[in-house]
Amino acid sequence: MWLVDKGSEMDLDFLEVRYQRFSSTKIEMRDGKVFSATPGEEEGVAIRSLRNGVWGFSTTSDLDKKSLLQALKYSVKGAKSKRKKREVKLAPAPVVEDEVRIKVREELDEVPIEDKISWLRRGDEEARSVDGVKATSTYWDYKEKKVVVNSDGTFLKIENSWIFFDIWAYATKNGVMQSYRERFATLGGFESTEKIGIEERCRKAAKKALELTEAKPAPGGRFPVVIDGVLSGLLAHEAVGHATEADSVLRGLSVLKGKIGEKIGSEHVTLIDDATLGEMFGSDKYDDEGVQSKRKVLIKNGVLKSYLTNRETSGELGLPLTGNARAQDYRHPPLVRMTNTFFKPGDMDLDELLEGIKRGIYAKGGRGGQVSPAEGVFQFGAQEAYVIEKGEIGERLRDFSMSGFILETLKKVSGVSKDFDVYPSFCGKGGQWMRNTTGGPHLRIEEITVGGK
Amino acid sequence: MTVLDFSKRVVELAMKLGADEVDSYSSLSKSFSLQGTEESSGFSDRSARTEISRGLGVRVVVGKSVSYSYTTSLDENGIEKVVRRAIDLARAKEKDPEFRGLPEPKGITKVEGIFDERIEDPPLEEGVQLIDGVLAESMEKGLKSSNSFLSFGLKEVGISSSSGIDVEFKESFVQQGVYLLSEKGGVTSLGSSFSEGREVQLKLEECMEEALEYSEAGLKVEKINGGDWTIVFHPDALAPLMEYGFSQAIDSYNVQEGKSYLSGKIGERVASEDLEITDMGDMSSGLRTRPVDGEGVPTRSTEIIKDGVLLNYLYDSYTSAKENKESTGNATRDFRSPVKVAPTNLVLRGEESKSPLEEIERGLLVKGVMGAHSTNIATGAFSVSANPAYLIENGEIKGQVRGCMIAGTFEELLRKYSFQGGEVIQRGFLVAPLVVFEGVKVSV
Repeated sequence: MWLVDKGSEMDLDFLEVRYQRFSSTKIEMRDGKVFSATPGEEEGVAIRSLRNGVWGFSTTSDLDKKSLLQALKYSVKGAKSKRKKREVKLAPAPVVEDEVRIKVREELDEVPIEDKISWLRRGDEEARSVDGVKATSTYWDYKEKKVVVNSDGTFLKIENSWIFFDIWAYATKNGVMQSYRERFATLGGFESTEKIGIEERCRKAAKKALELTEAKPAPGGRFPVVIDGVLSGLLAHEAVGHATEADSVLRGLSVLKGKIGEKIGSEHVTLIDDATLGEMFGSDKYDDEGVQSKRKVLIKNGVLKSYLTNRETSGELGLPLTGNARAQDYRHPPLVRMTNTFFKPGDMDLDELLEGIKRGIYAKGGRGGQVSPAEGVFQFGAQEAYVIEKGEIGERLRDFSMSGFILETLKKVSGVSKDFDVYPSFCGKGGQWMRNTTGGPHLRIEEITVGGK
Repeated sequence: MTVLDFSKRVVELAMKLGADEVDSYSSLSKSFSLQGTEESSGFSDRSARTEISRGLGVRVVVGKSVSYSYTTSLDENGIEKVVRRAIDLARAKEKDPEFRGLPEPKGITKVEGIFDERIEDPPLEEGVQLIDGVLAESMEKGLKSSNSFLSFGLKEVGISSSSGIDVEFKESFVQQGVYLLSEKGGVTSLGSSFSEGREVQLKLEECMEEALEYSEAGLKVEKINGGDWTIVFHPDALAPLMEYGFSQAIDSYNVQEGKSYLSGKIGERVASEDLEITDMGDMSSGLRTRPVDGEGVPTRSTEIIKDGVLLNYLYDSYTSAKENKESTGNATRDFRSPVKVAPTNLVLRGEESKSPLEEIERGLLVKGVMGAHSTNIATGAFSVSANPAYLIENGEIKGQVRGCMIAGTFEELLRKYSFQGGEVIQRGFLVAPLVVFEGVKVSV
């Protein structure tokens, strides 16, 4: 607070100070052995200032008064540097004074690390009980206290915590090695481990890895595909979501620039970003600019309705403020980021989606993806895939990935199922990792490029 | 106090509090970055950023049980808390019978070109002018969008251990780049160029020139058919592919656990006989060159592949002790993370050509790939989107090729290596010029 007061003497247009303290424990288990268990603590401050359209940002983990003043000076020096002047219209945001504390039963920093290790071991043992399966699993928890103060008068105190779990199962059979990943993450305390069903997930990963050893490499070329909810979530996030981030739009780096109100996809495509979904991994009551989060319909029945904004992009573009300014931690300035992003389910069954496909591919489970919103090109990989022959799911395939153009692919979505699946992940942008969730129903895409033999 | 003093204090305290062995890694990083964007419809943005980060990590051993902890609170209180937490954890954790002790001091490797004193007072004003110059030129040339950045970084590291290691060193980093988007007749083309080095040298003008060449080359779109293609990989594209498809496979942890397609293949031919890959931890001016690795072991050069034959994997003190070998000095670490194995500067050598593009009758120049992280690290199977990619005919770039995918396994790719040439640059750990592979599967 005194930093903001100090900053008020410095002739700035805007000043924001974000203090953060967090503790975190990461445990990596490799084939039953604790490879590493690392508890740690960090504390730091981020200072963002604006003057004549130039942003200054500084961050420090050195918190004595002298270092903080130095950080403030650095930030202000950045903002006052002799550069081209321009006007930045920060969208007005309600001044908020609030304290948000996540409800937890078992505080992460009060649970002995031995309990966390033995919980992870339960999953590891279950996975390795399947023939010839090896496993690398990770438990990661994070508990933070954050204070956001700005020169408008906003003063927010936030306490949050989350857990993340991930297992890679490796199976070898007849000289062929394959791997499969299961993952779960949620906001909450250590009690949330109970809802993961770790044994079941690890057994599934092991069995899937074993099954994949008998799969054939995927064919390459253009095919109709049906993808499950996890993959449609990746499509929602990679192919479309990133291009709706208004900072990319404003910089001319999104193919969706200037397309609000236009039909960019088939009528089956409705895309939503919603940070208000309870314990879902991408949820937050406020973003890192202190703006309250909300549910946004970005595409409705194929028509682009809105972009995701922060205060600057909302002001510049004259669009609603959506509360999507998020920063990885005190070391980074907030960027426009997605939260929980998904396609809305429709009313079809999987069988109906498969019907009529002479030769195509059914793909399930995500292996990560990437997008270039400026060119509108995306890629993502699947964990499992099957040949579709005359509307029936057939032979198993491996190493499946697909690539396409955003605007072309959205128009080729020709069916949406009524089921729904979600997947938590960390998304990278501008050198920052951010927790989020992606999800959706099964989708049918009439044609897309598949990489393969 | 210097960073080494913090590490020494940790070691002293941990031994006093009952640790059998201890080592500590402390660091102080400072960086100054500038960034600017101009967009054709009038949007522009400028920012400056400063980062100061200090922290220390500790590894303690109590009765063959090893544990870690870290903190950014470097006062006496913070140090005592982090040491006690690590010792408590080591006491609670199971023993590791395969642990043979922390490494002994073996001196340091004399390395050159990793610290440029000018980093203490970087030329920020000149940087501002260069960025503004790049952006103004882009708008004059009618480009759709232009983004340019410049970053100066300094890092001080101190490593101390109860076995007698006490090392301190400084590193400098300069990163800069230009990212352009041009548009003509509905075709958008991206041109980018980056430079990363140890020396305080401003190269934004050169970056601009190269980025312009690529963005202009991409304004014409060429259609191709799928099939087996000659691929020329730019290091921007090969580096991420190798990170997931190769560096994980030579990591001794993955090898010892049988999670690498190169497990058990020492002495076998795994690549084209023209290919040589060496991990050079002591390379002059390398981006990952250091006098010692993350646990204080002197760095060195390790031949990974020679004449196509696999010779070595990369080790730290733990995995090497398991095989009664010496560490290759590939322990990587920052104050937040435990010791892991990673390449330093992975140098590719082979048949050289002065201008490899001129020798290509028909092929693809791949400047970037998307989805390298979806590679199956155990099998090396990859399936990525080649973007940006350009068609080359009779030694000349004809235009951009959009929407094609490259797939295969790394094992196959290494055998398809043909030759390389042009300017050698470093991207991440990869040190290579343009590298040519024959008969790579492309789908469109």
